Amino acid sequence: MRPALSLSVVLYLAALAAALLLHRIAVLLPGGAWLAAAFHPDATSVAQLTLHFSLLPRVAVALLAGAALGLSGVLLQQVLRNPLAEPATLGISAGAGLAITLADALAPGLAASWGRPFIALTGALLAAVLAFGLSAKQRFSPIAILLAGLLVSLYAGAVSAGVQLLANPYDLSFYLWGGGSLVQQDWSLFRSLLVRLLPVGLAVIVLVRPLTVMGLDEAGAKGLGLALAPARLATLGLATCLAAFVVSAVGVIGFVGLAAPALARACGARRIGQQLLWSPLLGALILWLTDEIVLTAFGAGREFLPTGAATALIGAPLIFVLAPRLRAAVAYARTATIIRARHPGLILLLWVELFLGAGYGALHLGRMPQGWVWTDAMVALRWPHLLGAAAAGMLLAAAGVLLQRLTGNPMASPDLLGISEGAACGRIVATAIVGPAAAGLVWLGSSLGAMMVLALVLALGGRGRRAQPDRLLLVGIAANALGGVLVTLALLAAGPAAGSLRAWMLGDTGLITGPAAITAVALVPVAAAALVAMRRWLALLPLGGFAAGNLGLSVATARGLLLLAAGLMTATATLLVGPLGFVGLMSGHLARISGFHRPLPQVLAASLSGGLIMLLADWAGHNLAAPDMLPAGLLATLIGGPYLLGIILVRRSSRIGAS
Amino acid sequence: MTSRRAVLAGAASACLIPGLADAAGLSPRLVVLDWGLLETLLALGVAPIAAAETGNYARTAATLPVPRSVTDIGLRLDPDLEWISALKPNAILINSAQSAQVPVLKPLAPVWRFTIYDGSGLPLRNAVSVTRNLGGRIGRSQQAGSLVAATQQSLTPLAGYDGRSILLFSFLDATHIALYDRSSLAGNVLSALGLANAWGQGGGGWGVVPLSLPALAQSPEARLICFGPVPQPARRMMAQSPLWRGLPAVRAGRLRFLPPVWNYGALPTAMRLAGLMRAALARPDGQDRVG
Repeated sequence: MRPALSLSVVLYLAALAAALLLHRIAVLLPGGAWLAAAFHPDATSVAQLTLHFSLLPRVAVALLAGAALGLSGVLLQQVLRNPLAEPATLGISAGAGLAITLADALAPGLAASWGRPFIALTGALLAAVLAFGLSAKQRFSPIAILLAGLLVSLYAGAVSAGVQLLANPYDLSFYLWGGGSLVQQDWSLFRSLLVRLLPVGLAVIVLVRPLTVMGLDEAGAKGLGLALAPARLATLGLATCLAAFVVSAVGVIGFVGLAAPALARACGARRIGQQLLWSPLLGALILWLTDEIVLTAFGAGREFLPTGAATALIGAPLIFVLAPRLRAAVAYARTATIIRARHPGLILLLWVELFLGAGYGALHLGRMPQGWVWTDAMVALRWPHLLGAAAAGMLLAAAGVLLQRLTGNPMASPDLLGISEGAACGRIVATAIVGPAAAGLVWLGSSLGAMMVLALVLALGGRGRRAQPDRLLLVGIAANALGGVLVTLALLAAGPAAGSLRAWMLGDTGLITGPAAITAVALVPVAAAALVAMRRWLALLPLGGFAAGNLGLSVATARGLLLLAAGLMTATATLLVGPLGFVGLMSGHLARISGFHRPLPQVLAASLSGGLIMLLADWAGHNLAAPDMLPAGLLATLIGGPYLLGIILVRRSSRIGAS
Repeated sequence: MTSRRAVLAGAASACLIPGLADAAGLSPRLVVLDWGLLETLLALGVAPIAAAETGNYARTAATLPVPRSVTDIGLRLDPDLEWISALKPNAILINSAQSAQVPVLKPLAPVWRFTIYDGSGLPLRNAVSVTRNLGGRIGRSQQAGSLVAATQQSLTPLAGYDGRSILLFSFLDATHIALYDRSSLAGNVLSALGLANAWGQGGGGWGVVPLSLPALAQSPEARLICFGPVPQPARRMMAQSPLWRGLPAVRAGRLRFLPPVWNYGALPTAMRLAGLMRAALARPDGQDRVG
């Protein structure tokens, strides 16, 4: 520990935030009245009341929430021995947020009678259990836990968005402030948060010694005569409580729990005792400073970028820097059982028939004003969105398999790597510049967005001497979060058109026209032809750059072309069905557990299943609640998410972090 | 106000007997995807065969009663195309913010697109021309003329008001408000009534500014008009927060609560806004309680 350095960082952050705060107060009140207003505000002076009941409690809540998140982060990182663990990356915050959203929408009375903190804690605990359960087979390796947490987080976020959409289709406040708002109008929130957090913080002191030992390995701990399991559980429980209480008070705030311990370590806090002291302090300062910057940038009252989302602007670059240092603690081998299909041709033929049959049924069966009707009168209206959704599913699935083979990582997919989000941002920016009518230019913009994220993720995630494909996913989380900030701003600027932008983000397929569907379908054979031409590369690249290079392949060229293909396919599909959904991920898994391992059959099988999933989601979205539409992308996520989690829990052959 | 009631009552009764309009051969089979256009049609005495989110309209906007004969065809931004096509409409009416739907609607029927909210900040003026335009297209020019005249009559400057400027807003949650600036329909009505909008910024744009609660403290002299619905957390906040109770307008009782009003409406909503504001400002300070 170099206390001088650490102290100077703390002082620097505090001075910066304090300067911004003083500037805001100076605008509000003359200097002489500050002290009086802070403690005994004049009930007739709005400026004094604002200082006492809005400005100061907001600073206090920011400091308290930041400290809790910093402490939660360092606890989780120590017990899991994982520098990227924090409530947000483990799905704990999203679980708490989902529980509150569900309670508010379905049972408002419950939230009032049970209390939001309790509901948040229940959701957080369930999410934590799920994330740990999913990674149990990997012996809680850092990578496996992070991926499970990421899945839980994405799924909880999608369900929250869906519940909000159904409860109130035009209320955007969830999008604007669901990401964490620190606005206060008195001290009550601060007091209740303090009362809950203080006992948890005190309990941590008891755990300092076990936590120190946890830094050692299992054998070392046993040598000291310590049973680690109870201490570990207690630590996880306390960390979960801290995060849940923060979420129930101010919403989901990401990255603070990640940044604070990292900064503490960077400042030289090596021992856990030091980290437990410095992380909450730094977390408090990081959140306070972020909030001051947001308030100064947008002006009082105009909180256009919620602080909970703004933390992504600080946290994402941090992940970019930290990810290369992360190692998979448990080496994960590719020795999982490989199931091979006995008659791949026959099975593929069956899948084709299933796909065609489902398509035929979806074209004819529908819910009309008079009830369920089998008719061919509606085929002309149904084929564009059914075909468009199916084609998008196929393209996403093919892109998913491409990325999975290129990176040798079974979890790589356009959605998890942030490429879909990149395409969505590209579309939003292009539409803002050239208008929605210039379809070709919007497609170009979307493709550029996808390629930029792909390049970023690969450049940052693929560095280092030995390829570590799982870094990709972590950089992908960060890219997704950065994209989310842009989407929030775009929704705010869209005015009355915000509703349709949100519908598209959730995977609404109602606006797909015949020509758009045909364009996407036309790309399927082009993509297939390219894959056939490149199938040798696809078979060789998973061996790793070195081996593939020995086999006489220009690795750079092959990777470049395949990545270009993946980016273009993702962009085309995203324009049709939005960035949501695990289709790219699910379909590859479906193909693999059905026994397709060679590149070409795998791509074919994955495309068929991806197309089928989106076809069914689109049909269900158009009919189950008719005349109200449910977004197909959201339905695919709701159906596919549990399925994917189920696969990971049940099948040994498709464990997270092993192929 | 009698003329307003007369127009609205006439509209309602005509809607209940749509056969009359059809018999005259004047009323085509219309599907409406915008609530502003829906209420304009109803005020002109024409019931469409279908409209988007009729249930939601009755709950949250409710300027005019929607006849039972009007089929609900789903969400405004994503209606059920199959249901629309099964109803065989002569025309589909949308607003310009729904233009993204034109490609999928065009195969079903001619699409009539009307612009009230275009970022110009003059929805009231636009609604007048849209009313005349729409009336002309469905052979109801005369009724359109009366609707415009009745609206203008309801918008005469308010007599005997103390001249305080006014902040128009509604609650989004306990700590966030949607503030209606001069570009909003309510803002347009406010200036037509000869009243000043205390939110000096803005003008142009969509008319609705999302802000956090302390923004209300920036205009200490203003009178506050709060549109419903008031969410439960906001009610709790009003009961407890010293900052809220310390706001000069709240302390002095310069606060009015109005029912929910659709903030992207047309002339019938403008008339209703004028009536509600007139009645609210005629009440003495300190009487309004959140309903």
